[in-house]
Amino acid sequence: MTEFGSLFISLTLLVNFSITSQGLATLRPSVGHGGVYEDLKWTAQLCCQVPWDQSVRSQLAVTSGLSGQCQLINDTKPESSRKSQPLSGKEKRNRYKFLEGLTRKLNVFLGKCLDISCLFEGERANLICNAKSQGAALPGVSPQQLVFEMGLLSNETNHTTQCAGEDTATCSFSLHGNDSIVSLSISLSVNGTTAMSPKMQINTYHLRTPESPVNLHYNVTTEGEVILRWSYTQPDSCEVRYSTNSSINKSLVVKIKGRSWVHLNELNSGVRYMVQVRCQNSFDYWSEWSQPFYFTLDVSYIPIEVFTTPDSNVTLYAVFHNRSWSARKAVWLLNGRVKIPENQYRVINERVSAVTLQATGPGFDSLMCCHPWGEWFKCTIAYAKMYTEGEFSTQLKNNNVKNSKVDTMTCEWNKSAWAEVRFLYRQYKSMCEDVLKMDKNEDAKELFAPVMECPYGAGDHRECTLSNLSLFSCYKIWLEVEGGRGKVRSLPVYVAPIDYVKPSPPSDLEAITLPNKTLNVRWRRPPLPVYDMQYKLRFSALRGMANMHWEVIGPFLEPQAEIFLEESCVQYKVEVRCKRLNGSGLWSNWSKSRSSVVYNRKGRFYGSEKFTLYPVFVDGEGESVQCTGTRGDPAAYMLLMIIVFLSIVLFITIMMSQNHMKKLMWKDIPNPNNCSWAKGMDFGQIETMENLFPHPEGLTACPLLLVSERICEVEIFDKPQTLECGKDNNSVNIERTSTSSPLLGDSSEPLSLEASASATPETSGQSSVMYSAILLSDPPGLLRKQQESLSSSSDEGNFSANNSDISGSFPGGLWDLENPVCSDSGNPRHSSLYNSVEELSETCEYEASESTGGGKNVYYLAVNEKEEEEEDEENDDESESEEAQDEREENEESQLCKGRFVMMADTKPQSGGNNYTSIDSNTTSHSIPLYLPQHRSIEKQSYDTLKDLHRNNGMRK
Amino acid sequence: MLSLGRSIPVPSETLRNMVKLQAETINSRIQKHNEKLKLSPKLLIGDPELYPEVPADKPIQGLGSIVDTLTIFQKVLHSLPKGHVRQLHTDVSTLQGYLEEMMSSMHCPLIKTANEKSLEAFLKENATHHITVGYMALDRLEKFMQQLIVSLDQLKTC
Repeated sequence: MTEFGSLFISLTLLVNFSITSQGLATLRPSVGHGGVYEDLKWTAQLCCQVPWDQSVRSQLAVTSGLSGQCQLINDTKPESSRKSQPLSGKEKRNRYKFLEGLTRKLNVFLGKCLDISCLFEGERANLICNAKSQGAALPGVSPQQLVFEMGLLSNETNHTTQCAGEDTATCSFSLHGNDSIVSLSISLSVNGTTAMSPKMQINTYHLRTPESPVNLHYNVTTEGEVILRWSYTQPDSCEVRYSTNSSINKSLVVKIKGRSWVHLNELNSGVRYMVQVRCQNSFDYWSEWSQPFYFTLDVSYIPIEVFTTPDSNVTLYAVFHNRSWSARKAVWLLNGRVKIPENQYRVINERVSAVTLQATGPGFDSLMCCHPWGEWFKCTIAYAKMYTEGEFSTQLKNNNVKNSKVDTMTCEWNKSAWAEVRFLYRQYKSMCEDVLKMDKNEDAKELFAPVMECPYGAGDHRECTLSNLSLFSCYKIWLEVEGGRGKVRSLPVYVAPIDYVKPSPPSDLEAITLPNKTLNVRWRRPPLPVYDMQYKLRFSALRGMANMHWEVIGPFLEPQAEIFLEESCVQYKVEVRCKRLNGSGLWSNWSKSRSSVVYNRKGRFYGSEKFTLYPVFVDGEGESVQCTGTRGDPAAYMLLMIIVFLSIVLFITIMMSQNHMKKLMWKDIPNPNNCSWAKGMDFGQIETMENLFPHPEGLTACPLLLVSERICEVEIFDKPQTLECGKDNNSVNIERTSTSSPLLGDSSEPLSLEASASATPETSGQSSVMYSAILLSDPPGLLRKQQESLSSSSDEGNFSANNSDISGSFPGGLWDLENPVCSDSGNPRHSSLYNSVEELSETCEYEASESTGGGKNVYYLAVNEKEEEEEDEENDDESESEEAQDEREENEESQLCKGRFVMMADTKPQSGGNNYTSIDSNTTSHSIPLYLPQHRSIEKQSYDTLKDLHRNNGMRK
Repeated sequence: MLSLGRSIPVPSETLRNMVKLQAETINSRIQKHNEKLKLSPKLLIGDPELYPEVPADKPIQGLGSIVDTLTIFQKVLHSLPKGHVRQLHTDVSTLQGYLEEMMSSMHCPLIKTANEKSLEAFLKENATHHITVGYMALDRLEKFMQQLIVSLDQLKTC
């Protein structure tokens, strides 16, 4: 034995699995050799002897010519290895003899036994085999020196898997999900000497757990028996257990052998049962329990669904599982709505009723067998389905291709609501006439037009909308109803969407009722479809009854119509619709209603007006009427627009001028009544003014006018010419008038002053030329009273747009208002104002008329621009009176009134302004009013009044 | 004595009104749907005792029970073929959303739907009878909505 220690032994285990693909039908337990199927494993024991004298020839010089051999110890047939059984005494004796023989030859052979096992790995995708040396290591041979080689071989694919190991080896082989027979071979090698095992075969089918039964269902016989059925690959022995939901732990178990159905008896109606089945295979392996199958027995139909042909008689049975229901009282309903006559019923037994009916035509129908309950019919959920084969007709109620951005076609059909319908179609690129011919060739249509389904899918739809249409293509459309054993389909419909286009109604309808008893109507056609259109028009008079009585005329080929009426001047309601001119198509909806415009020669419409009338008749309210004023002559309309525009411009100009003059004349006049220091003071009294302004100089002239508020200067010129608008005897020389006219003379002749006003920087930057008519005023007492009354309303800022009128209505009223000190009776502010030249002219005319009777003289007050004033100053120096000079000097000193006025006395209106008299205002500047109205009338000989006022002021100084 | 119970915010009146309006909308659609079937008015489909999987005359006991019942109806509607019940499915989902929002604001615990397997078995068993299943389910849903409309006070409790 010591030699063994020096031996170099190589023991190799080579395992070869060969797999052959064979169908399950050929897989029988007898197939294959060797091994035992036990506990979902295949196991075998292999013992080998290797002639080791060869392997150690060089050292031991062992006799050559010996070969190795292997033997399966428990080589039994699968049929005899169904169960795992311990080795019998005989088997044990055989193994012992084999090993003893090996031992006897130990001086020649090296003996070794292996345990081999194969089983599925994971989800049965792989077969894994393991070979492991048995017992202790060989004496003198380390485990590392014992090498196995194991191979798995597939004969069909010639796929071999080999693996080797020392003392143990494991191989995994992919089965690709199919059951196969795998060949296994093992070789054991010692120093190049190999011992081969016999060929072993493993049937993987026997390594699987039996599948659970599937497809559990039940049938009911016409006798009312319930039969449970299931599917299983190898019907052998099975067990069925069933229970109610409430007694899941008290299941009844029925053993079945050799068949896959069982009678279930003593079941109650209205109770939900749960049934499961399991079966045993040939190796007595039990499958798992099947998925639970639930069922409730109420009414069962035999058959559940039937396929028949038109005009064939069909008999259906209904079994009442509810024992309180009697088949003698059964009521059969077709599609849940139509009661089938009782003479078609037949009572099979107390629980089974039958009905026989004739299928009318292709299609789908439902049948329900109910039980009367008073006047009601109690029914269950179950119902029978009857498919009548053939192509049933269906009606596409409405094909509507809309004129939207995406052309769509909505197809509706009228079919039983009980059917679950599929809407199918094919789209061809040909015309429908060609498609009809081509449709006979099944291959052609399949090739060029695949079947498509409504996007909604199967369901209880009644319509389907197809979008992105090809308007000119042909569509073949049909319906299908699928049953468990087949399907029925409708007759196909060939549709070219262009033929079913329902265009949009015409738009932009215009209607005019002309005086010649004609109704003229125009409209605009829809842009799409582009084919030629025809139109129909309907109209109804808008009077009388609330309900419209339409009269339809047409077709028209042009988008206009002229209708001759029986009477004129009647308003009509008009609507239009359109349709394809050539070929089929659908009429569009009626357009929006439009009421005609009654043409009125006297009162033509210019411009449109968008309003609605709701006529109320005896029998109710009528439809609303939209009345539209049509546009008339565009030129006249334009003229009207121009006139309106010019009027607006004129108005704005006048308003701006008014505002400017208001600002010029009124803005800077302080109102002492609004001042806090003037509270409680009577500005009508001179004492008050003296108290307020004790300074003896300057302030008495314009006490309330601040230095910075100087407005103007007045230059008064003597005008040599007489007023033209007066008679010669009324022509007045200013200078003469100034000296001879009494201050408050009762002469009513107006003094017309032409004034040229120049705005001072303190007032306004704008200037304008205005004229003031200075008229003779009322006596001083009355004048003062008027001034006082006006003082409360002529405040700065409260000056209204009517101030100019006020100036005319209240002569000189405002003049004295702001300057009580200057409100002397001789103050030239005691004047009446005229608003305009026209008014002034009128006054002039009036004065002219009055002049013959000693009327008023008219004077014009002109306020000139500064440059003119300077010239005037030079020209009029000589004509200045001494008083005027005094006043001017005083005014220059005080610098209170800086505005310059040129006053011209004239007896004619401004048109005769050539002959005016200029008066240097500097001579009268002390008495210049704080503001000047545009036109004012002053008392007769107002110029004298001004001078007197100047004089008085000078006296006060 | 002071109550130790957790204070529950009262659901807003707006949400209650929306629940009411949605329930009325559902009922209106159901009536319209059943009208299209054109069944005999004398037909009584689905005895309440026969098919307990679909709630019938189930009392309303707070938000949890309402949501639980609606969940069952949703599963039934979902099992029906595409078509007219699709809108109803959306409506019930909307109503369920309102109620779940209420439950969330009131911190109500969710109730797990019971007998879910029975319902699935029922739907599987009657998958081929979708017309009558739908009719019966919608009839029961309509009654439930009527009950809900007159029991809006139940929205105050979990």
